[in-house]
Amino acid sequence: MGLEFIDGNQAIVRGAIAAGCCFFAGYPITPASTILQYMLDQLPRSGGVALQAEDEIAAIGFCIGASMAGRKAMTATSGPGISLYSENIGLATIGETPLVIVDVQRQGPATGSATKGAEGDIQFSRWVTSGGLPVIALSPATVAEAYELTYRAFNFAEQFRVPVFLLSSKEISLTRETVDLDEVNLPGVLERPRMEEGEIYQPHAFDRPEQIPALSDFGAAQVTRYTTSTHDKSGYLTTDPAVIQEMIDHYAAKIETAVDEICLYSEDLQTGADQLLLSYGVTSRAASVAVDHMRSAGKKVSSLVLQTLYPVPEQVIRGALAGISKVVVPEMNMGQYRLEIDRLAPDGVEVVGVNKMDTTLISPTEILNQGDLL
Amino acid sequence: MFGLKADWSLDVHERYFTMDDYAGAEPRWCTGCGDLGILTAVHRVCRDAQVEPENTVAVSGIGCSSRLPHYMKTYGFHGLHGRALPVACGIKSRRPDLDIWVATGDGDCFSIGGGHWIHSLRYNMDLTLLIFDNGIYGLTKKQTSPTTPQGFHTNTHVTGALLPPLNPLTVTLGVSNVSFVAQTVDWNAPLLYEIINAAHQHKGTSFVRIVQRCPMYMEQLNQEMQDDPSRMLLLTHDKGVQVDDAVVRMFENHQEHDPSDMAAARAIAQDDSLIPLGVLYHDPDAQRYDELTNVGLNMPMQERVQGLNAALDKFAI
Repeated sequence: MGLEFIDGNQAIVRGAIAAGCCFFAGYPITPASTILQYMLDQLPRSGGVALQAEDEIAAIGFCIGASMAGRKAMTATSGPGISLYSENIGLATIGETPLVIVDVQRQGPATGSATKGAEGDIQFSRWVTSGGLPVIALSPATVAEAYELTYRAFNFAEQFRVPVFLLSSKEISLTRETVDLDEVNLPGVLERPRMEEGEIYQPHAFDRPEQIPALSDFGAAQVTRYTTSTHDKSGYLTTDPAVIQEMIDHYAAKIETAVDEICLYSEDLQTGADQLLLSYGVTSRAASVAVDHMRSAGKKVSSLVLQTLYPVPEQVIRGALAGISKVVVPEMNMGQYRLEIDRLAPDGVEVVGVNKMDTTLISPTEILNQGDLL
Repeated sequence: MFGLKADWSLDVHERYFTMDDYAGAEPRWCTGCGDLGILTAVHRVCRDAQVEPENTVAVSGIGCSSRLPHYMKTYGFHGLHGRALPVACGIKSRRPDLDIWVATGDGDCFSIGGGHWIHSLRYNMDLTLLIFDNGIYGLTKKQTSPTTPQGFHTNTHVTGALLPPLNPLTVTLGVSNVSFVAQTVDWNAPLLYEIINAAHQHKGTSFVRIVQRCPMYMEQLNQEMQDDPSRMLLLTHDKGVQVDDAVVRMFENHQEHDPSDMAAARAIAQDDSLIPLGVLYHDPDAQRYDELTNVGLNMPMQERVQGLNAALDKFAI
C-alpha cells in the first residue's frame, strides 16, 4: 500500500478487513459514522456484507447473528450507542460470541458534545453489562495503532470467544496521519476453534475453566443452539447453582488466565526515575511530549503507555511502579483508570490525576503543571 | 349611573401573547431549511390558541428537528435519540393540563424510535406530534433514513438507497386506536398552519408528517417536488382542514375525503403515485391512555391514605 494519508476510522476498517472481518452493521453516530460509511463502501467489494441498521440495538444484534453464523463481525458506535448495546454485550458474553465493538468515544454523558472529544467510556467498557464479567478493551493512540489494535481485537475475539472493545476516540478516529500500514507488525490471523464433524456437540464444553470451547457455526454440519439464559455446557437451560457457577467461572477464567497474552503496552523506563507517567489513548501523545521535556530539563522519569486497558495489565503496572514515588495519570475523564492504579500502587506511592472533560485535549503543559513534574 | 352595572368591563385578556412570546433562541438551522417554516407555524398556532408559555412543553429527541425546544420560550425537553415520545407521555400522564408538542424526524421517529412511535400512537395521549421528514439524516451528514427515496445517493449508500422507502402513513394508519393522521409540506405556509392547528386542537395523539426540505443534502429532489404541485393530492372535506381558494388552486389534484373513513384513508396512503396533503384520518372519540390512567391524580390526601391502607391490608397477618 505504501504511504497513505488516512484517518483513524479508515485505519480501523482496514485493520478489520485485514483480520478477516466480513460482516459489519452500524447506525449513524458522530464520530463513528464514517466507519459505517467506509464499511458500506469497502466491505461488499471484498466479499463481505455491511448493513445500516435501524438503531444500535439492531446493529449489534445483526453482528451477533452473523458471528454465530461463522462470520467475523464488527460494529462501531459512540457512547450513546454503547448504552444501547449493553444488553446484547451481555448476550455475547454468556453466549461466548466472538465480536469486535468499536467505541469512538466522544464527550458525554448522554448526547453530550457530539463532535467533541473525550475518553470517558473506560470503566463503562469494563462494566457495560449486567453481571460484571471481564471484557477485553484495547485503546489506540495513533492511526497506525488503530489499524493494529483492530486487527488484534479480532484475533482476541476469535481466540477467546468474547466481545472485544476497541476504545478509539474522536481525535484518533477523525484525525488523518501519514502511515504505511504494510510496516505495521501483525501476528497471523486467528480463527475461532471449530468442532470436528461427528463430535457430540457441546457449544460450551471445557475440561479446565479457562479452556475455549469449539464452535459450530449456524449452518455448519453440527446442529447447535444458543441461549441468553443460564445454561450448561450443552447450551441447555439450567437452574443448578453448581453448574451456573462453573459457567460463570469459565467466562472469567478464559480472560483472567490469559492476561499476559492479551496485555499490549509500551514502556520507556528510566533507571533511577522516581516519577512515572502512566497514560493511554490520545493523551499518551501529550504524555510523551511531557516526558521528553522533563528529560531535557534533567529530570528522570519513566513512561508506561497501555494499549490493553482490560484485563488490567497488573504485572506490567506493578513492574513500572517499582522504585517510583509518584505516578501521574492524565485522562480525558475525571479519573477512571486511576482507580486501577490506586489499587495497584504500593503504600507511599502518590497517585496524581490530570483530568478534564471539557472537550479539549490535555496538553503536555497541563500534565507538567498539574502533575507538578518539573 | 348611566344604567351600567357596577362590574362592567371590556373583555380584555390580562395577558396577550404575541408570536415573540413563544420564540426562544435564534434558530441555528441551515438557510432555506424547512424546519424554519414549521417553527413559525408552531409559534402562530400557539399565539392563536393563546396557550400560556408556562403551560406548554416542547419535547424532542435528536436530529435537526429536535433542536426545536431551544427555539421555544416554553418548557423544553431535548432528550435522547428516538426517545422523545416516552418522555412526552410521562409528562402528559402526570400533568394532563400541560400542552405538549413533540418534534421529531424521520430518523428519530421512524428508525431508532420505531417502537415508541407505534406504541405512542396506540396510547393516544394528548400530544401534538410533528414529524420533520426530510428523508435524510441531516445532522450526521447525509446517511440513508427510512424515508430516503430508493436510488437516492447518500453517504451510507453511495450507489443509491437500496430499499423502497418506508411509508409512514400506512404504518400509522395500521395502528389500533390511532386518532389523528395528517400530512403536509413545509413550503405551503397556509396549509402547514391549518394542519398543525387542527392537530393541536385534537385531543389525542395528532400525528402530522411534514414532508420537509433539506437544502443541504436533498436540494434537487426537494426543488423538483416544490416546483411540481401535480405530484400532490389535496384532500378536502368539511371535517378536514379548510384553506383559502387560492391555496386550493395551487394544486391540480383534489379529492373529497371524509377523515372518519379509515378504509378510504388507508387506500389514499397506500397509493404512492401522489403525495396526499390534508387530514387522512380523524377520530375524536378514540380512547386515551392518559385519561384512562390518571383518574387518581387529584385525589384528596385522606382518600389516598385510605386507599393505600386498603391495598396494604392484604399483607396483614
